[in-house]
Order: sequence, then C-alpha cells, then structure tokens
Amino acid sequence: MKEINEQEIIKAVKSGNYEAFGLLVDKYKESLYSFIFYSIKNEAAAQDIYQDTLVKALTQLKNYREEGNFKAWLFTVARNKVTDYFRANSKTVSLPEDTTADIFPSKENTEKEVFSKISLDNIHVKIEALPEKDKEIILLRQYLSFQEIAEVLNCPLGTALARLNRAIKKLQKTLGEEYAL
Amino acid sequence: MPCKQENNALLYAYGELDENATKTFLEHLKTCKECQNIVHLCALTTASLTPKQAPQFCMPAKPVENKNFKIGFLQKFRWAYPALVFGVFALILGFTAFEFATKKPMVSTIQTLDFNFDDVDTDLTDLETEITDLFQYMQEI
Repeated sequence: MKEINEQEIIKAVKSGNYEAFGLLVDKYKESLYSFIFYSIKNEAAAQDIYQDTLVKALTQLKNYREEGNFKAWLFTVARNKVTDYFRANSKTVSLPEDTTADIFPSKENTEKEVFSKISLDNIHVKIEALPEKDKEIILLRQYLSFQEIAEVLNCPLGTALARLNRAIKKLQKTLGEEYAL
Repeated sequence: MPCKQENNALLYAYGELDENATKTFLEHLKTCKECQNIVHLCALTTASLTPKQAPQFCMPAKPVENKNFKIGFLQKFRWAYPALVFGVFALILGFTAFEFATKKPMVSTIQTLDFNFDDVDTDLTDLETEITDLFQYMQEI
C-alpha cells in the first residue's frame, strides 16, 4: 500500500503536479540529509548539496523508471552530488566541524553517559578517518537496506556485504581492543 | 581464519536476517567472538551516526529544464566519443588499405597520331595576294 502511494505520487509529479514532490521529500528528508551531512562533514555545503539533490531529483524524475526503487534512486543522485563536491574541492581540505563540542557534560549528565558519548564520538571520528569507500558503505547502510545499497553501488548484494564487512574490519582495527567485546 | 558466518552477522546486526536463519545464527553467536564483535561494532556505528534534522527544502518555482540542449545532448552521448573517433580512424585505415589492394599497375601507352597533311585544305591564295599588295605598297613608299 505504501509502495503504491509512492508510485502514485511519482506519477503525479511526472504529470506536472510538482507540489506532490514535497510528500516524497518529507518521507526521505532526514535519512537523505544525514547521509549527505556525514559524507562531507560541512553543514553549509551539506545543506547546498541537499537542496541541489532534491532539485535534480525533481527535474530528472522523468528519467526514473517506475519499477525501480525510488529511495535507492534518490540516494544515487545524492551520492553523485557528493562525489561532484569532493571532485570540485579536491584541492581544498575542509576541516570537519568540531565533534567534541557537545560532549562536555551538563549538570544532569551522569559520568556514565558522558563516557558513553565520548566513546560514540570516538567511533564517529574513526569512521571519518576511514577511506572514502569504506566510510561510504557504512553511511549507506545506516539509511538503506543491503538490496538498496547494491542498487546504488550498481553491484551484486554479496559485493555490498563484502564491502561492509571489510569496512567494519578496518574500523575494528583502528578502534583497537577497547571496543571489542 | 575469518568466520564463515560474517555476512550473517552483518545481516543480523541490521535486522535483515530471516527468522529461521536468525535462530541458527544466534546459536552460533553465543560462541563466536568475531561475529559478536561485528554485531557490537555495527550497533555502535549506528548509535554514533545520529540522524540529523534536514533543512527546509525550497521548491523551485518551476523545475529547471536543461535549456542548453546542445551541451545536454553532447554530455548525454559523451560515452560515444571514443567509439566515434575509433570508427573514423578505422574508416580511413580501411579506405587506404582498400585503395592499396585494388590499385592496378600503371601501363604506359604510346599514342600515334594518324594525321595526313594532304587532307588539310590549305587555300592560301588570298593571303598571297595580300602579301604581294603589301610589298608593292612598301616599295612605292
């Protein structure tokens, strides 16, 4: 039922009802923006890319095959935009925004919560430090299923799994024994 | 030696392992340290990447079409450029090879003129009289 509605919205947008596109945006906006934000770690640029991605999706919707997976298609558009951004900014190094800014405790925070937050931030920093392809697959998996990832990366499901496995192994290696069970 | 159930560990960590396989995998998970670490790390990555609130999407007044048809068209078929260049090159090469293959050796021919001066009508009497008149005139002068 959910899928039918989505396809109906896409048909409506294709037939010229551009306002209906807002419904599609509402459905995926958080995951899409989070993927873009964590991919480039620059809020201003992430907002621009998010906007560009949706405008491109709107204008290119006529090329979208209705039997396909819209979410995977939308993330493919976003991924291409992120790649374009990195290509355009390959000579300039942008410093990631301060990830430690919000880890300082408020009075209500218990010591355990603070340490837990620091640990998660540490993981976050380590994900950032991973090679681009490994970071990408970890990020994609937060918002897409393995089948959708295979569509976005245009590879078999097994390859998507193997790539994530490799990325997790690298992350495990950089984190060391501290995070192992 | 990596565990053979690592892919199942990933599928389980993200809730994509089917029910029957989950039961089997959970039994395995109890004893496999590697799979435990994978599941644990997947959970930690998910927890560390908290969702971000998306900014307001500003819908364009009218979808922007690709007005520059020429550029759009050229970009659309950019994959064909190498093939086109290769095709032209192959065509030139093929044509040259064909020319060489089919070229006949040069044969020299001697052309003889079949011309008989007796057949030419040379009526020069008018010219003779004019020249004679001219000489007479010059002598008078």
